[in-house]
Amino acid sequence: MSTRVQVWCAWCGPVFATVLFVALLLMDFLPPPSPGMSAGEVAAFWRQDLDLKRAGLVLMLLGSCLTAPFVVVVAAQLRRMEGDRPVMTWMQLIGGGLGIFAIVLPTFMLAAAAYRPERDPEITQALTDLGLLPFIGNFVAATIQCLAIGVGILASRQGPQVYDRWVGYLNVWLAFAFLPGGLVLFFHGGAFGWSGVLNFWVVATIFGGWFVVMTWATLRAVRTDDVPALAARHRVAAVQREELPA
Amino acid sequence: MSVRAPAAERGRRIPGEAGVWVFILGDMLVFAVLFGVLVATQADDPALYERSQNELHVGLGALNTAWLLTSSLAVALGVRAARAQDGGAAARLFLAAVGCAIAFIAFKAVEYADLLGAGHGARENDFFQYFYCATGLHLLHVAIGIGVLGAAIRLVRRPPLSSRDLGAVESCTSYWHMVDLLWIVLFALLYLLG
Repeated sequence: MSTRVQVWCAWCGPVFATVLFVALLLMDFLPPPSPGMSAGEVAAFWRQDLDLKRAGLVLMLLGSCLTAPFVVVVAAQLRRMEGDRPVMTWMQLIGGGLGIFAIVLPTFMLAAAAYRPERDPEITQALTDLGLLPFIGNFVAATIQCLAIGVGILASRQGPQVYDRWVGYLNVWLAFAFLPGGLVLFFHGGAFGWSGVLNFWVVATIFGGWFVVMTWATLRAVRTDDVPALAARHRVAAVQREELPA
Repeated sequence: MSVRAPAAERGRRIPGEAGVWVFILGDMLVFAVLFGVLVATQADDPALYERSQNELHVGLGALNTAWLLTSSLAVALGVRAARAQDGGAAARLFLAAVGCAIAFIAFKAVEYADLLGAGHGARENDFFQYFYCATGLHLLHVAIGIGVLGAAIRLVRRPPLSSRDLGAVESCTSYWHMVDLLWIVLFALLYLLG
């Protein structure tokens, strides 16, 4: 794949993070409505600036499309480190694929809450729970993806050093740092609730920071990726297989 | 323009692999926020904090601090033995640290069982929410640490130890010292603050 397409793919990462930020801002989700709110308060929250919130949800869907190119360029570069049995590269693709779902699923739950805000508040509250519990608490995608990138980098000692080893350690750490997200199930407030200091603000910050670091590291990796040489090698191989004239 | 000697020549260097410190500092940063939350909770309602704190057993907490400080000493001596190419002694010292870690977990289990038996769950108030979450997350670090020390034991059992092996051992032990350090701060904030 050409260098230029890879660069574009890498830039999709920070663009996604920015779009997500704007979407959350439009939805008044910075931080999200507190898990301690009563059903009436949740319903009132949705009725306020309803169409702005709906626009934010559509923006989240648009943003989630941008994670796909980002995930594949990371896979392409990780593959260079791993060589012929790129198991962590494949695992990274699974994590990244689930990541799209991790945004789209909660978005449609919240969209259902925003769709008929005049209904029984209990139902709106239940739909908001269905949206926010996985939005903050679903660490599965991020943990799989970060663990794959981390182990892929740290375990590849033979191939070229495409990503620095500290990027590997950072990803292993992040894989664990997302785990406390699961604690949102236990609390209706406080730092570990879905709008709390730790499970919202800290997680949002490190999630955004991860995109910055991975974009920088991936752009560096792409610069060292000698695509013309790769194309020449493919051509030689094709000639040897007598698929192309010499 | 001044020419600076490389760090190694100045006799200063980072223990273990430099990248490990990204992991360690990142972890300490998140815990620092948690420490801030604890201090804010105490400042918010000192009476509630103190009342809840009195339900804890300072003795158990102090004993657990002693286990971890002992483990850190064993780990530090183990690194020294590994540097002297005494892999057998290093392995024994790291194993002793693992023993301390298991004792820590056992004592913590007793403490949790006792608190829950007395009806103090994580949803009782903010103090207990943070008590269980903070010590639980730390306990996860201890459990991972046992695996990390296990990796160090495997490494030192294969002499001779190259400088890369020693670097990997130091990476493992740096992580363990962090686990110890985080507990000391948690102990002070949860059991003694106020």
